[in-house]
Amino acid sequence: MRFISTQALRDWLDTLARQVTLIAPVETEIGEAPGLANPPASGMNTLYQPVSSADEIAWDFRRTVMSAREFLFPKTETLFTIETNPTGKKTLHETKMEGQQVIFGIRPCDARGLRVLDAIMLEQKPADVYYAQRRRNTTLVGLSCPEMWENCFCTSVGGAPNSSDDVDILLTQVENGYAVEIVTEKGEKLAQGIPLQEVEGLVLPEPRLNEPFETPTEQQWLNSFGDVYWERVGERCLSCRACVYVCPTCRCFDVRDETVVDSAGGRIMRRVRSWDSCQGVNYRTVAGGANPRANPDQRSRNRFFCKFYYVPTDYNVPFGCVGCGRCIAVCPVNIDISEVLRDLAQRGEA
Amino acid sequence: MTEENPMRPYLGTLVGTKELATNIRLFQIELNDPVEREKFFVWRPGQFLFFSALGVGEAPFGFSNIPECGPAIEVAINNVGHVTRHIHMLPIGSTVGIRGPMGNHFPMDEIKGQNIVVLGGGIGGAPLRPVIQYILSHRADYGHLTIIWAARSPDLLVFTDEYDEWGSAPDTEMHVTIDRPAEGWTGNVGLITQILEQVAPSPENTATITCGPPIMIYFVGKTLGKLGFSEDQMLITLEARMHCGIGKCGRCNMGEKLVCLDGPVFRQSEVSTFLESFL
Amino acid sequence: MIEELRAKARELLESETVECVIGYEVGPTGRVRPVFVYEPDDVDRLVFNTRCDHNLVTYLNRRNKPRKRGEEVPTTGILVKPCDARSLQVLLNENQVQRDKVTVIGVACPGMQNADGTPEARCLRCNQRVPLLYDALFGEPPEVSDIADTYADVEEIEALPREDRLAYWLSELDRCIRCYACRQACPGCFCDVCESERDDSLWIGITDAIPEKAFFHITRAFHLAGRCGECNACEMVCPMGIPLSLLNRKIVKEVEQTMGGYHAGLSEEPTPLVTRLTGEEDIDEIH
Repeated sequence: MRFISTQALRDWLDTLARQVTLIAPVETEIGEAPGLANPPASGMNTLYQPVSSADEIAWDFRRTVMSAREFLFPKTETLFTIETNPTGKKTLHETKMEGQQVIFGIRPCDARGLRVLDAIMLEQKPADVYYAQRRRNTTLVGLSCPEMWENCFCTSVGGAPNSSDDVDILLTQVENGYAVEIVTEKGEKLAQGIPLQEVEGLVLPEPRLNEPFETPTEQQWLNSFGDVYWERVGERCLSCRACVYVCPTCRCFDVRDETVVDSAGGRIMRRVRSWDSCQGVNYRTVAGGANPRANPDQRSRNRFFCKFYYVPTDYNVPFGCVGCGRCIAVCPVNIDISEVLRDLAQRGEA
Repeated sequence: MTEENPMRPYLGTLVGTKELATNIRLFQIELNDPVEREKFFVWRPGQFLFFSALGVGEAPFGFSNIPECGPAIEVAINNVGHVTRHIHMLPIGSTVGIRGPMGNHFPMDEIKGQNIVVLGGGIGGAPLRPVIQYILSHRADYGHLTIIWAARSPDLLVFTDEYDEWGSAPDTEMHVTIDRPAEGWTGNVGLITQILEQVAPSPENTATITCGPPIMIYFVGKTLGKLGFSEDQMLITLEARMHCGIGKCGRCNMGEKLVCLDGPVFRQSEVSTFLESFL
Repeated sequence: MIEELRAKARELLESETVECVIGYEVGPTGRVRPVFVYEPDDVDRLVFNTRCDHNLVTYLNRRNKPRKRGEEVPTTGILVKPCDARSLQVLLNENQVQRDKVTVIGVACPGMQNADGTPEARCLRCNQRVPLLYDALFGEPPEVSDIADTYADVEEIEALPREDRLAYWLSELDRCIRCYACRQACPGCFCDVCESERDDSLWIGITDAIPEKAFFHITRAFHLAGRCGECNACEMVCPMGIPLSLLNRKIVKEVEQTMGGYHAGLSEEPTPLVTRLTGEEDIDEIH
């Protein structure tokens, strides 16, 4: 079993931060403002952010507020620009991603989230070239969770707090350092620079697990679609969209053009895409004003079905949800995906 | 970029426009780059493209002609929203963006040898024009063609100057109707469903192709059912708000179906199993 | 108190005075959340405790129109704390809610608490224990003890030099992800299409650029000027912990000081920012 001491890891990360864009969990001011009624629990106020040294990393973090998807699918991204010079000549320039990035400390659930996004963005043809570029240029160094925390349910959707399935390297904390599992070729390549020791008899701690539960079958989902249950779940929804923004697998986006006229009389147009959410009131409103999902219960039903029925049906993944629990933590009115799953799974087959 | 980027438009020039009806104009575009032009010119009836008013925005529209018609791509666009309002203001010679062709298409090969009933309501007629053009240019491959064309009022009928040509084609009948009587109108008056019941095409060896507002598709489907058609014989095309056209942005889902990838052409029998209603 | 409240809810539902009662319940994991009670037998789900911090009045913005053409506007019973009642008064003043369609179930409020048991900062500032607007009132109003300075935290920011104030807000707003939870939770934000979400990007586009985010928050604070009931819902729902109520209460302070002590939701007078600026009175003279 391979091992790296804490100090050697920190030294390596300091070096790595000078070679690539190093992204890691960082503590933030979320929860510090005195008026905040519901500050996040300990270790839950972090965000994945670029860092320039190991000192900036929140080593005791539990779960970040936002997932890691923004580094492969940014909140805002310029797709291309078209410059028109004063004579009218147009030049189109597609955005390219330069350089490599390493996401250090990504939790297995967030890495699973990227796997789900891969199925949608890459495997479903035609592929999204922007996501593809970033994916190629990204290496994931995962960090096992010592336990499952409040709202976590990864084990109920095919995941585990110490799963190495979707990362390139997996670290698990042990005494004085970390056990290192090299998972993929990309991980092997990155590991060239890491001073690893071979250690005999290293015992990895078993993470403390939450009680798993059954998720509904495909038939139970289908049977429930027209049920008034969804009205009861959705009527308290504020359509605040927070659940979507913190989710590791959501990928709906909006596209807009912006134009800037420069001083010489030329114009630059850029087409941007930004995160959007099916929970928004006007998400499906068409020109002319009709809105097929005008009620919040139709919208929240769409989200649950998307995660557990549409995505598994349309793409090559068993679940569209990774069980990270962020949406449960962030929902102001306690619309709880695990409660919905339990409720549906308990209904009869018929 | 090393791989083909479906989010990047081909640049083209607006070479002509034609007023079709109130607020509905036909736009004719030619792609600038000959290599891109060749790659693009494989579209089939029923598919759609994204038209960019560069700097303003982009929206999906069905093709209104077939590649055999000539170098121009024709698209009929209704002035109803922000992007279409700006498209309607484009002068001839403007550079525009085109992405596509996208979506599936009407199974013109599968329905060879059958009689075809084409039902178009309002601007819904625009994506059906390529179907009619295709059948008329491969006339021997198809049986009897019945075209039933409707609009709320005469000023909303599209391609009126082609009705004579269509109606006088071999083994073809053309019926045009408006919802309510209008001054100067001497043709049929009645909803498309009423005219359909009067024409009463036989369901024997026949395929139907319907395009129009969702509520029209629904009632036409019911009427066809009354006339003995099975839902399997009914082809329809649906539309939805879209941003990518390639199954990524998630906006056009109707249940687990994505209109941009699984459609926009569907059989009514398939649509009836949709979790979410298309209405 | 809760038994009497439940009995009232039952009476309203059985007599069909209201179609549903919106209140609070405890969910299966112990979290308090809004509940819509339609059946008299379900009234036992209703609770009231120190974790009932949601402002339920925002739901009335959805229930103020007939669901189908030809139908009546639905009737609603709604639980309000003093802060919620202020929001409701604003909606009544602005003709957003019909008074005869709402039965207001007021509750005397001991002040809300955070999940860790500490009192919520906004409740420490509050001097109202009984809603000013109700059809029925439940609970014994507790003693109002030391009230924290209403504007201490606002004044702390005001005291910063201009560059530091700007840096503070740019840093806080940088975390904004434009989820719009603040706007959705606010009863005073009821526009069908928000100025920041227009299809034609008339005011701002859709990116996460700081100027756009700052524009959204500052504009929202101004649109609530003279209308904000200080319920703090915006700040409570923000997933990124941005201290949004500071912006709103800065303007609340300005309105109080320039408009003769006016606070939104305390009377049937709508905001003087709309009703008093006829050119007859000079604001500086009042100040």
